[in-house]
Formats: sequence, C-alpha cells, structure tokens
Amino acid sequence: MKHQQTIQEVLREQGISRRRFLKYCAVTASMLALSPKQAAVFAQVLGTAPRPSVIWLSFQQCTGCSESLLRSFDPSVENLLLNLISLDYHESLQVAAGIQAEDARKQAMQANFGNYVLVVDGSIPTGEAEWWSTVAGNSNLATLTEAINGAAFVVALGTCATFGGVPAAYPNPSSASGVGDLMAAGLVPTKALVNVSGCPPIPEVITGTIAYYLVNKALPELDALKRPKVFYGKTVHDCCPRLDHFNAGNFAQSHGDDGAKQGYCLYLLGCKGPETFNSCTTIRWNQGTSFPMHSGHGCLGCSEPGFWDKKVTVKDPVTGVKNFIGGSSFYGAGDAEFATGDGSGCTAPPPLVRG
Amino acid sequence: MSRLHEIPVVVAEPHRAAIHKAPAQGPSASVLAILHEIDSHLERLHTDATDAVIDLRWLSRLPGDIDALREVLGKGEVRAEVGALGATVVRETAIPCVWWITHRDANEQLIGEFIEVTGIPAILAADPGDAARGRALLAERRSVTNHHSQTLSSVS
Repeated sequence: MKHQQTIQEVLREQGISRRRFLKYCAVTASMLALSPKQAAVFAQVLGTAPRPSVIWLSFQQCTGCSESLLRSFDPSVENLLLNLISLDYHESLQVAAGIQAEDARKQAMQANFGNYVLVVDGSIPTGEAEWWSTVAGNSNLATLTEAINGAAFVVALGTCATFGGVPAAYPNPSSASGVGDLMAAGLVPTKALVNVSGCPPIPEVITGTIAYYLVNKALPELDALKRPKVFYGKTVHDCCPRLDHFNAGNFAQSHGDDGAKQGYCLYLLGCKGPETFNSCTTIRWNQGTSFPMHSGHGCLGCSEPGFWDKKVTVKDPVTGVKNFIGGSSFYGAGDAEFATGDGSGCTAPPPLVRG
Repeated sequence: MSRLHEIPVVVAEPHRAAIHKAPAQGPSASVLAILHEIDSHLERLHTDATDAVIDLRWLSRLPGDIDALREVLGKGEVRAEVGALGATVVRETAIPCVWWITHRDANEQLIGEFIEVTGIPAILAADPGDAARGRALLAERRSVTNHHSQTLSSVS
C-alpha cells in the first residue's frame, strides 16, 4: 500500500523548517480561538495528518477568491497552507489543460472518494441558463453534482459560491445560485457545507477554516448562514475603530469632510458595517495593513446575502428619519431594518494593535 | 516600488485613548488576572512539569495593559530572534520560566503574541527529526571544504 505522506514529511522535503510550521500553527490556532490545551496539540495533530486532496472548482467567478489566497507579496503565514494540502485540481493554477486536466480531476476524485475537500468558487447557472457556463462539455451544475458525491465536505468560497454574488444580481439572467441554495432545492446532493463568504474572502479566513478541518476532522461551529462563527460572529461595526465616534454621535456628512478625516463614523454615508458579519476590522486586509473604513470608505457588505443589490436603511440618529442609500443597484428587496445578528456568540479575534 | 509595504500608506487610527482615557492608578484588573494565571502555571510547571501558553490576542485589555504587564514581568537574560515567516522574538522575562513571544510576518506586522510558561519555548528547540538531514548537509559541506583544500594544495 502506498504510504500517504504526512504534512510534516512534505514540509521537511520542501525545506520548510519545523519552526516555520510551529509559528504557522501558533498563529492559526490563536486566530481560531482554540484554548491553550487545544492549541498545544494543534501542531502535533496537523503535523502528523495526511495531506488532504483538494479539488477546487471555479464556475461563474472572477478568480478574485483564488487571488485573495495566492497573491501574497512575500512568503507568508497564509500561503504556507498551500504546502499542507494536495491541490489536485485548480483550473487557474494547474499546468495541465484540456483532456489531461479533466482526467487528473477524475483520477483524484476516484482515488480519494469520500475524503477530498471540495472548494467551489463562483455561482452556478441553473434552469434554462444551465448550459451558459460549461467546462469540457459539462454544465457547471453537472460538474458540481459529480464532485459533491465524493467530497468529505464542501467549502463554498466567496459570496458568489455562497449566496450567488454578482452573477445573481438583478435581473440574474443566468438564474445563478450559490451551493447552499442548490442543496436546499435538491438540485445537487446535500453534503456538509461551510460558507466562507466575502468578495473576496479574507485569506486568513480561508486557510483558518481548512486548517481547522485538518486538525479536528470536523467543521468549526457555524452560524445560521453556515459561516464559521469564529470569523463571522461579530459585525464589522462591532470592531470598527470608528465605533467610539458612532457611540459619541460623531458622523461624517460626506466622504472626505473634516469629520471623515478625524475618524468619524461613516454610517450616514451608507456604511453597511452594522449588518455585515465578517473579520475585516480584526484580521484586516493586505497582510494586516488596513480595511475600507481606514481609507474613509464604508463597508459594502460583501459577505452578506444580497450583496450588490442590497440597499441599506439608514436612520438618522437625531431625527429618526429613515433613508435608503448604498447598494450597487436600486433593485432588489433589501429594504429591511438592520439585521441584529448573533453578535452575542461572537468570538472574532480582537486586533493585535496596541491601544 | 513593487511591494505593498513600500507604498507610503499611513493608517490613521482614531485614537481610542483620547476618547476613553485609561485610569492612571496601578495595574488594571486584566493585568492582575494575567499575573495570577502566570502564577498558577508556574506552580503546575513546578509540581508536575506542565507547560502552558497564554494567548494575549484573546484577553480583553485596556490601553496600556501590555506595557504594564511587560513592566511587571521585566527582562531576563535571554533574547533570541527566529527568522521564520518573518521575525519571531523570544524574550525571557525576569521571572524564570516565563517567556514573552512575539510573532511578526514578513512585513513586520504583529500576528501573534504569547506568554509561555516553560523551561524552553518549543520554537527555539531544534527538531531531532532533522538530524539525518543535518548529517547529509554536513557531509556535503565537508566534501566542498575537502575539494577546496585539495585545489589549494595542488596550486601551491
């Protein structure tokens, strides 16, 4: 029987030191809010685990989700994860093309049937539009159905794969749908699903979710939208550095005015932070550099269902008058009040920034 | 200019400290709690050799708490820097067996901060599993050195 290499053996072969691995484990376990006891065994278990086969399928998408994970400027903690998995199929990264690529996918699926991790980015056209997007003569829906059958679990990556995203924006010409909705409608088999939403998702959220599975052989605790609570348990607003100004009633009246420059809250300019569950304010973007509110722009709400069409209800804190602003389109049905969410169960990591 | 950290971006943090002034009196309850936890871990290390880690990311802190904690713990004899995915600084505190570990990424951003209660932090120890690779590397370097010596002697 062929020996399946452990992660530590692979890392050693690739000249990645144990110290790098330990650092990756310490930081990832911390991000996942594991208890000190759990964190202590994290490296041990991860090191001796066999590398899982990962099949990555891309449908109606822009490759932004892959870019989020891969476009690191320097060797980083995040992209170390690429050494921990066996990425057996990824259209943008693999060298093989055409028949060879499809054969490789089928071989990997067959060899690891029931055990591989299926990552999906992009939404899936359905109904009369099912054949608008095809690969190797198969509709996206057919490819997804085949791949889900043998998967241990499915990661829907990015807002297109989770909730339909941009392709599903009004008038949704391709009847695009996310993976969860397809499962609920019985159009694809139902499997354990974790939604990692965002346009794109934060790289650390992607790698953290996969690392958690590698160690625990189970998915992390999920919210009502099947997103890991550890990353989506709190709103962007809850951890925003402008929150103190919100509480003090200091609101910017226009982009770039004196208030905005002084860090006033961008709520009246359509910031969707109060209804958006994500870790942007805590993990940040571009290797911890910043996030939109640092740059004077409100949150777009990209990790929530209805992103793109969704409008935001802004209630003037003084007059109580409601206005609808924001949203990239004036269509859709996003007129609801702010979602209150499940902030009480929040375990989003606080920032590593000195107060 | 081709790298992100070379772009002169200034991240303007609204100054929380200016809005919520930290009380001027002694260590906060948070700092006292961490010190108490360190004491318990030291006791366990002494009685049954159990190591422990405190993840500072998850502890709610008031402005100045980290500095206050550093001040109480002080500095010990050892300061080591590990170059792995960015710099990691391992600093012994003035309290024996209590280590302060700071992980930074390749762009020097702080990505993790821990207090370890142990004889020696794991990240400093070499992996005995690498001994075979060490022998191979040593043999390679010895052969290069021998070749170099032979070349020198033949020239002279």
